[in-house]
Amino acid sequence: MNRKKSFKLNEEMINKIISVAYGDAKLIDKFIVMRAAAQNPEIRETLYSYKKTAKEIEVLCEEEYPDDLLRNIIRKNIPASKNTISFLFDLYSTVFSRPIISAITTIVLITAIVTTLIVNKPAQISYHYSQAEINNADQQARKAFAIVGKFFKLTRTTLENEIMDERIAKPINDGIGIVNNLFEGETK
Amino acid sequence: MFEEQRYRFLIQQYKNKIYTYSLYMLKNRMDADDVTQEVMIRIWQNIDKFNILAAKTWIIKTTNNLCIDYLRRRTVAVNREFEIDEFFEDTYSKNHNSENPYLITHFKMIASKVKEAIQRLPENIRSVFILYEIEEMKYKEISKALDLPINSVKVYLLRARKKLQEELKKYEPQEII
Repeated sequence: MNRKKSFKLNEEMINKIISVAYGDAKLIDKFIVMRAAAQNPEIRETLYSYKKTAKEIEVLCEEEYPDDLLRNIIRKNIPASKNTISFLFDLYSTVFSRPIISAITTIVLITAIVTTLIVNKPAQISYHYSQAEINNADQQARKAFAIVGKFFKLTRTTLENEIMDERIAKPINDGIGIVNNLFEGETK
Repeated sequence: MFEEQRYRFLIQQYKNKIYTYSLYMLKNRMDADDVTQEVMIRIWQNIDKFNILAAKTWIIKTTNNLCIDYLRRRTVAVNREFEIDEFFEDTYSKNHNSENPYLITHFKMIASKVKEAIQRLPENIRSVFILYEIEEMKYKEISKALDLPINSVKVYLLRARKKLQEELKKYEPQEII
């Protein structure tokens, strides 16, 4: 009974038909209208009629605004000085013309730098040596220190015996002897 | 300079929408040119004030208000019933690349018939119809642009579609004759 009622061409059915014809109906409404159209020739006729109109309207599109008028308007509205555009100036003004954009740019740059530093951080190498290697290294270090110590000792001996005595003390001694001789000669 | 870029972007994006809406509402090319120009000037004057994401609604609202002003002024002056199709010349031939003169003429006839019918719609339902069917705006956008509840937008659209159907039916007997 209910189904029969819904297939009558009443106001509610017309509204559904219109939605279906214009393609913005719900799925359930589409189903109802299709079933109704299959059973009721009047509904079918109405649906066809609305679909035809919808198709005719669908083809309509926006009108093109004449380019010459548009150019005139832009020329009038934008001051002449602003019509000279250079890429760098454009970029500069885009970035720095507004504090919010400058702030965002700064944040992006800082984030990029920090991220790069974090990502490219050199990996910490962990060394693992055996006890034998450590002992060996210890011995080698001792030997190296012993050699260095030997050199220091040799240097000290050379300084004390050869350089201090032979090269410094002896000439000073000779010099003082000569001075003494000279003084003695004068007093005589 | 940034303002200029925004302005150019907005104009490129919405010039045809403004123009089409004005044409359908005012039914006259000269007035539509004037309204489009006025809207573009207002966009430039307010370029700093509105959010670029909400620009569409702002622009359509401004266009609608200006069209209403023009229509009010005009009611006192001339009855332009006979100027109805003076501006819609080549929409169909532009959209259909057919070289068949018969088809072109046929499409033009249908176009003028439909456009005339749209223009005969009452002002309030016409605006909703144009924005939804031709400018392809959503209910929510239309609701914001025209300051109408969404349900009213839906009702107006339905009324417009019914009325349009009636208007187009009137043409059918003439075509047969």
